[in-house]
Amino acid sequence: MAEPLLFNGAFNTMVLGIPGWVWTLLMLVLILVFSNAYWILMFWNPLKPLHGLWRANWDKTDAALLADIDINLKLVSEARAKVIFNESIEDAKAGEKEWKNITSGQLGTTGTDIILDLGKWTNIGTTERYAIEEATDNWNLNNPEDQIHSFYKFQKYCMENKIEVDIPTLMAIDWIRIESAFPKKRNKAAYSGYIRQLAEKLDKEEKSKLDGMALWIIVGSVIVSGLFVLGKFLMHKP
Amino acid sequence: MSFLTGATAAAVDIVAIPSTVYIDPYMDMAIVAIPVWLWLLMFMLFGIVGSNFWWIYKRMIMAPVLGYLEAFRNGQPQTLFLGKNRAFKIKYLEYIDSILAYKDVFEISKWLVQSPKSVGRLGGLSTLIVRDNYDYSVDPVAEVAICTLAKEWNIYNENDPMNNYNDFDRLRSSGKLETQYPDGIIIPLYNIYDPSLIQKYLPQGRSAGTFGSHLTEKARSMRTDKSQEKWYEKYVPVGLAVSVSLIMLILSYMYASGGM
Repeated sequence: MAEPLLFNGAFNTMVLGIPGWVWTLLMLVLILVFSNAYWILMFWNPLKPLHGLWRANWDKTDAALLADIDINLKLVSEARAKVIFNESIEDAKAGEKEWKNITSGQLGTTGTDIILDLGKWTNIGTTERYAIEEATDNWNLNNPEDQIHSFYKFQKYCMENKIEVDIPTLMAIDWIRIESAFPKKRNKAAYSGYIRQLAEKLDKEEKSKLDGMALWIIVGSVIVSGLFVLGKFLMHKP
Repeated sequence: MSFLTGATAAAVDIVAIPSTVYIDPYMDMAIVAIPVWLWLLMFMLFGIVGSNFWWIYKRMIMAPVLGYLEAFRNGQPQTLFLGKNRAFKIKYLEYIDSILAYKDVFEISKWLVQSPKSVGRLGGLSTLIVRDNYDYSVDPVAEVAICTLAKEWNIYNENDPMNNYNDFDRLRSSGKLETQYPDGIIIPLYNIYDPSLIQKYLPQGRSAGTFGSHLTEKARSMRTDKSQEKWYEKYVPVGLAVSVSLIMLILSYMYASGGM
């Protein structure tokens, strides 16, 4: 006995000389291409400066927001922000033994440190970086039981005068900057302009609410009146 | 449903099929009781569903920084939000007249951008840092400086310690700090910034919510101060709508009940 065609032959029916399943396949390919193109162009590519978060999550490590003196931020991996040598964070932790964990916070599920790198030590190929690498190498050769692999420990030992290096390790933050961040008094003039703008905004909000209400009253009454008229027609007996 | 199992063009020829139906000798061949073309369609469908799930997963991971996209599209600064619960987020807040605020007027938290030095950059966009329990934008460098200063000060000045904002303010006003540190506060070049350390030295009762509600309250009172449009001008659209609606309802009811 002959078996019926799958889906009653709907996918085998010729449309413009091409079988239905080819059209369906073409449509699915287009959906696949366009949906991925949408994600890439509208979501993934614009987020490029923040891909460090995804990489850290994928590598199951922490991320770091590196900031310089002007708060220019970069979202990078933990290793890039904390480790002096070209090695993984696990190797650095194993080498240093007493690794200091100070996590500033969380970006979603990823632990994230905010690191102030005021001397741009984390920039690769700079004079400062070479000087740090050289000084740390020497220290590690002479102190195999107390190795340095992180900038944090390097900075700590510099402040304790345990290690010497020919680059500055401290910086003076002037009082003007501190005064701006923590002013003694709050100046009302600094936000009085905003209060006026907010007053206007609140006014507009209320007015647009009333206008919206007027529209809904009209729409509602049109629907109810339409139902009355419709009812008249439906209940009409010839 | 019955599948076209193991059918070839030759086999299908026996069955009377409409002339508009095309049976391909290869693509209609069944593999595990399913024709090759259906395998292809299912493969594509899984591809669409799978790739979109993958992107949705990526979006979930990137969710805390999606405010960057919104700020990027609106050409506005982005805001790195430091919660007291240590959760960070990049948000898109409106910047108007030195104030950072949510676009929605019902979200009352607001921050004053007092220090231009607290404005940084991330991914080409102007970036401000704020925290929920302080009403100024955050300058992490200044915060590290204050924490470093307090630590050092307390070592050498046991009888006049700096334990909170009031102490800091008092010492600063007396000029003692600037006398002892005329060039500013010396801090290490490399710091892992801990946002919780400054909590001790922040002025009390200065949360973004308190500041925001103060501004909103002022703005609301200002609305009653200024010469508003007359009440009947304000309610004209609603009044007109009510009148037109009533007339429409009365007429349609009269028509429906046979009164017209």
